[in-house]
Amino acid sequence: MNFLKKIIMLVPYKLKQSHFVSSFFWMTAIMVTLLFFWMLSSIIGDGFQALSWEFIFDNPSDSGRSGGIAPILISTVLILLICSLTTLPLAIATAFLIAEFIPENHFFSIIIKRSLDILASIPSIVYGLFGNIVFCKMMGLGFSILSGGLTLACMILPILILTSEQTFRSISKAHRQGSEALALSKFTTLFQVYLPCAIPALTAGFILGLGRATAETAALIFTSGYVDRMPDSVMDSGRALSIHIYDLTMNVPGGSNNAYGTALLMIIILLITNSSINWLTQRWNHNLTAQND
Amino acid sequence: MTNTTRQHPHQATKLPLTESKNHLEIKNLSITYHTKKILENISMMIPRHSITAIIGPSGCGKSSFLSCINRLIDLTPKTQFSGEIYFNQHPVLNTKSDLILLRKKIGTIFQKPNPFPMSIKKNIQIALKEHGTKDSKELDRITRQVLQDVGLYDEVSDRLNDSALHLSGGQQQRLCIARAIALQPELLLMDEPCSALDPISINIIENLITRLSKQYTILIVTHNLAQARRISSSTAVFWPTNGIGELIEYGATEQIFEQPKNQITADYIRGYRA
Repeated sequence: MNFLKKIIMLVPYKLKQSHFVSSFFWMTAIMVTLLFFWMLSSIIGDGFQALSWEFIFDNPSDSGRSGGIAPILISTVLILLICSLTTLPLAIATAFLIAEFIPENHFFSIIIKRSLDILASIPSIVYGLFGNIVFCKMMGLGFSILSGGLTLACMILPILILTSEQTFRSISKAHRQGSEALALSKFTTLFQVYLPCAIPALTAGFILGLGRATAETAALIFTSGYVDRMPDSVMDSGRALSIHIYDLTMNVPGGSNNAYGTALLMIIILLITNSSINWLTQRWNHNLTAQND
Repeated sequence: MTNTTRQHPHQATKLPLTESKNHLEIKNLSITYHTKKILENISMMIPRHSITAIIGPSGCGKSSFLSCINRLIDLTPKTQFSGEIYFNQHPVLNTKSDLILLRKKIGTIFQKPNPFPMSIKKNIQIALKEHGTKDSKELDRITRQVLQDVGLYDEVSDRLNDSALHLSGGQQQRLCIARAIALQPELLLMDEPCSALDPISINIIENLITRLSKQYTILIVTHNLAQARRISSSTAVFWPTNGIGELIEYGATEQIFEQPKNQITADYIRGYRA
């Protein structure tokens, strides 16, 4: 909003008075919102009739045209779990290394950050092929939920590291000095001082990454596979929600109804996870961040 | 909170500069940041259990001077220093000096209260645990003791597990002092500890500083000349000459404020120069 205000300030006074500028901004805002609501209403409208308890708890039948999506939900949850369990510690550790131990303009930190920038902008299908070669073939994990989760981890790791690094850098100098003046070790500083401060921003970055991972299709086609049976373990192949949507719309004639249902369910799941993570961190953090003044 | 009268309790305990053994000796200290010199040729002898005020206009290197003593200046890249600082006869500016021990022995209070985002109790115990106190009874005893020392115990005894960020600014600053003295330091460095506080809190902190000087040697940077006069036994005046901070006068507070030898000091304490 500040940026908008600055732009508005540049506009001559008379033009401002003419309502031309403000109506222009209103129009763009309304257009973006309309586009979003159009998509959402289309998904809700077409997907709502597919939703039922059977749809959530049953196995798919007839290539997904009928039946439910229970195994697909389980596979998706497993893939996301593996993805977050691997990325979170790695991202926080790497971010802490860059932010705390290496000076900001040291060439090593510049190299790491440039590489992360590039990695963050690589198309997901490239990650899929990479995961296929490294996890499925070289490490012998085959088409499995584990390979899929690890590939997604590689994909969202750069974004997560970059946002966490920013967070650690923005932690006020006051805490840094305070911790240093008490001769606290880096370990204590990270776990007891920085992490509590950083939790809200880290969560925001994590939700962003998790959203991207949930919506990912291309990277999973080559790694976790297509199989829509209930997985026995993480070494089984499993179909993620996004792949199910892709498959139903592209390869299964007459499957679009259930595809809409799956899409609606995916949006609901994302909404629920995001808001519950937000709620949890706020609750947990409320006691710590509330300022008196 | 009711005691708002200005006191001069330190008048009686003022120590003559020459008698006592020097706790902190600074010899020809110069600090350079990048290529710019910010402090030149500072020499000071600071006796044990005294309060030394450092006054002077902004940007004359007072804070950099303090951060040299506890080596927090290491956090600022591209800073070089020359000269010598001896704390208890041990060289401070030696690359081999034990920074952990040094910072345990030198407590630091910052301009803005900076309690950690955790409970009041944890704020005090985090450093104690880090430096080897494990017994929870002992931890609680020290917590209680230091909170009493800073006069905070009665105010917070029923909410020790509440976040320290819920405290008022003055309480937070006293908590930071409690946190520092929990490690049983010998020297307390205070970088404008009252500048972010209201007058009542300032009064409480000033009384506290005076009380603490019986056990600790205190070095306090302040912009408040009246405060320097009220609480300190000796005063150092820093002044930027051509952008380089210098120590232009150093002596007993009474003498600095009543018969300053340096013309700049005389003008500064009368408010002619800012």
